[in-house]
Amino acid sequence: MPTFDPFEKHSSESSTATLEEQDLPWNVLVRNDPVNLMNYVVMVFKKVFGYNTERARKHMLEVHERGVSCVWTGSRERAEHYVHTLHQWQLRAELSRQQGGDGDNEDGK
Amino acid sequence: MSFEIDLKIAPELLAAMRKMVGMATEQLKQAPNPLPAIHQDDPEMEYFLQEDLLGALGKDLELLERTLAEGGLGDQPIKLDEAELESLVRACAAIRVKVRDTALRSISDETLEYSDLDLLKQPLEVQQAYSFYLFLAAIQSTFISYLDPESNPWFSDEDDEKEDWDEE
Repeated sequence: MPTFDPFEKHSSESSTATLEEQDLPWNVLVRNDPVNLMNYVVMVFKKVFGYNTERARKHMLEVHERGVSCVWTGSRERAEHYVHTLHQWQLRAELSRQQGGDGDNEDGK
Repeated sequence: MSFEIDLKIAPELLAAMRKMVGMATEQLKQAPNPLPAIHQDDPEMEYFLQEDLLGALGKDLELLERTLAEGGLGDQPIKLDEAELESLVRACAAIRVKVRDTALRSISDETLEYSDLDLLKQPLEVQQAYSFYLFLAAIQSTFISYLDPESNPWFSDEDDEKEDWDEE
């Protein structure tokens, strides 16, 4: 299975942000860790994002099997808030602005 | 919502747990678990967020230490509201991460993730740390089962249907 690496660098990186880059949404990524329990991660996703059990479990399994899951996509402010909240729960959450995230968006779709 | 947790842990085990929790708490106060920065380009904002995390972690750990010190999880059931129970679950997570990064640092991620450690081949301090690490996971799971009974990743409606079918 191909692995989505949101931090992969592209050769076309430029010091000047293009309009397209400015429009990119922010992704909340959660990386795998060997410590936190599966039921714990499911519970945290449900509490933090309000996901149902099925959606939370899908993201948890993605973290476990692929090493990373894009759990949410949307505005910078809310993405920062979510990452901070996930840090309070000791999850390895990161912000990313790379295209290709398949996280649930602000409308929960 | 409030919960009554009736976990009766043997006094000897509880005493050992108090000691280990105390040690891990001290380590966490001196060196919190490292997490990716949110504002790499804004040190002031990052400092503010780290302080906030540290404050929240301190409250979680304090509640766990207080619960154990007052005999909670020993011979008396404990009554906790949802926020308090969440706090204990977070404290368990923080301590497990710290134990992993210190006493269990010689163990590979894979071995740890799949609980594949040959305990008897390990030095005594690793045996003790690993036992504590697993014990804390069991307690954490018990708390989670109160907070969110559906969170077990292997539980699904299909399992429910299968059980019904098996009973017929």
